[in-house]
Amino acid sequence: MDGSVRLEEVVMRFGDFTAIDKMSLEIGSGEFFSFLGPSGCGKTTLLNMIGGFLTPSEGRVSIGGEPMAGVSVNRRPTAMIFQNLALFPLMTVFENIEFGLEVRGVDRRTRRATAERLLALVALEGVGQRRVTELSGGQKQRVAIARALAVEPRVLLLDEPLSALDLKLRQHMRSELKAIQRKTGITFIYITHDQGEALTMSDRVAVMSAGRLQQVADPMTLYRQPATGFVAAFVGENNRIEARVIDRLGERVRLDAGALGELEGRVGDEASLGGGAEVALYVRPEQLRPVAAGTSGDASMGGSTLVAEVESVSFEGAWLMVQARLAGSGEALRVQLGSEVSRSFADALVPGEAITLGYDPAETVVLPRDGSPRVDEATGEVVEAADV
Amino acid sequence: MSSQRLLGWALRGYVVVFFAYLFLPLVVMAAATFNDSRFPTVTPWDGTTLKWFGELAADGAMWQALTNSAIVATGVLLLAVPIGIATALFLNTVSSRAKPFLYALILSPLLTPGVIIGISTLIFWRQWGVGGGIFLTVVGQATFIAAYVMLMVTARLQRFDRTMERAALDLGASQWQMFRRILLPYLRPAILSAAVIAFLQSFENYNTTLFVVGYDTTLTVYIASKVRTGLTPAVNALGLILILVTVLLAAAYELKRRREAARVAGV
Repeated sequence: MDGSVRLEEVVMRFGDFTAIDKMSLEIGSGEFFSFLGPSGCGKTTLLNMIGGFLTPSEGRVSIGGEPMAGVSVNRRPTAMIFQNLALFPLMTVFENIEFGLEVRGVDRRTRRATAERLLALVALEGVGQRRVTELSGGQKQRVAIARALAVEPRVLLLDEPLSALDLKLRQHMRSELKAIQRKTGITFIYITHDQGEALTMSDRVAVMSAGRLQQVADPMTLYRQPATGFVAAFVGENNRIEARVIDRLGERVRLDAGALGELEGRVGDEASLGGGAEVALYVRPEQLRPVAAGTSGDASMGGSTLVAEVESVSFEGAWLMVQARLAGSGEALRVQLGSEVSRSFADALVPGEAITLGYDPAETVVLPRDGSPRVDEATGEVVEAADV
Repeated sequence: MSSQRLLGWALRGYVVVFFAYLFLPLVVMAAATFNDSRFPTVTPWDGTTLKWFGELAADGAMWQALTNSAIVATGVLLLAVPIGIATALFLNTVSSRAKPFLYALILSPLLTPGVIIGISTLIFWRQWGVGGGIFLTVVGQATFIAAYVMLMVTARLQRFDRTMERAALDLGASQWQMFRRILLPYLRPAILSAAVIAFLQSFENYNTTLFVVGYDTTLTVYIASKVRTGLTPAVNALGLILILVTVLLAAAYELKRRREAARVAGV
């Protein structure tokens, strides 16, 4: 049972609008693969093309090595979990799960046995005779999964299936989904705009923006070595500091950050960034550490320091989130301080107070500036990559 | 405070007058059934009698007309309901630009006077050698009753969540299986109501029927003809029976509906 999915130069146009722009990608059999991106980035369109609900304008989609052109929805080896679940409200739980088998002409006994087995898999025994309208949100979720698994798909397509659940249940269902995927060995293709979901469950994540792939990588690489400014800003939190390259030694670059002085950073696999290049340095809030004022920072940290004025501090339990402004440029800086800061230090962090911060350049990433994202000014959310 | 009270009384008074307006004629008609008078009237009261029920039962032509009405109404139901469903499904799929035009076209028989529908049906079928009768009555009535069915089915269809359809296809169902197992059960309540409405609309129709009925008189046509030849309280007896049957059916339906609502709410 080969559940690999291959996209070759797939294009999807709706009138003048290009929803998917020449996308090529290979998803391995048995992989938990996520498409992550803001709404409108084309991820749902992509899922619909794999499921057979949309025919690509150009390019090829194949599943398990077989080209899917001309193969209709009801003949594809895929099953979809819809955002609103789309359970059949007039049917019982059993009837819902058995539907796919019933239309294939499977006899009643086998059907019921399969349904019982799947209900056990999703930890929902004993509700078979109930109407789906009588179930809770989490139970409906499980029935939808069981119904899709009943047809033994090679690829399961999940269209933001957890978005309707409350936070706690959502987090619980993450591990549940991951467990089901491991048990069944089916390829899961999951689309979401929630990076938490994508990072916690996936083997690999494709970050999408405006119909294009920004980066395809495992979650940790995505977080630590974002390939574009869009990924750096969209996945996790990041502070962005504009600068110019002074010189470069291997991965290390020295940067001229104007009023902020000289800073150091790490270049990813971007070979083109030489002296004089316009860049952006990305430093995550949790990578910033307080250092004694006036020093040039810890020697092990490479000597880069930032001075900022505290604006507000919020206590989040395990950490402190400090909202500050950089002295010199006046740009916002977010700092996450963990248990390493003492109580007295934390108490001294009052608005208006200056704080000096150091970071390890090896943990940062320096990217060309033109790939930086566009941010929605009203919501502060990343909307799309600026280069499109 | 007192003005509010006044308004309350005025409203109550209005309701009384309103229902009197609706039902007093029916009450008078029903009462006339028991009057031992040759004419359907309550004044003067010539004594109480049940003889008009007997006379009604003995009226063979009336029974024939009633049977014809039932046959026609069943025929209309069987013809108009499938046509109405199919039209609703079709209208649901056509592009937005053609839709208003097609919609108007299908609804036009509802806006056309029944007389015109009757005459045109007769003239059209005459060309093909088909004269007035039960067949033509069914065909003529179905032209506009199908539009009612279409309206009722469309109203429910518009609330259908299309992802159900996608989900069914995704699980391997053919279009027909999707229709049979998902869409049709969903539309069932609307189709049942439409069938009842179609039957009643046919049963009570007079103006279209008059032109296409030929010699197979239906009940409405028969009653109208009696007005000319001389109306007796036997017609009132028939009216009373029809009212009672209608009320009983409506009450039974309401009871069933309430029981079902209670069952759904109870679990």
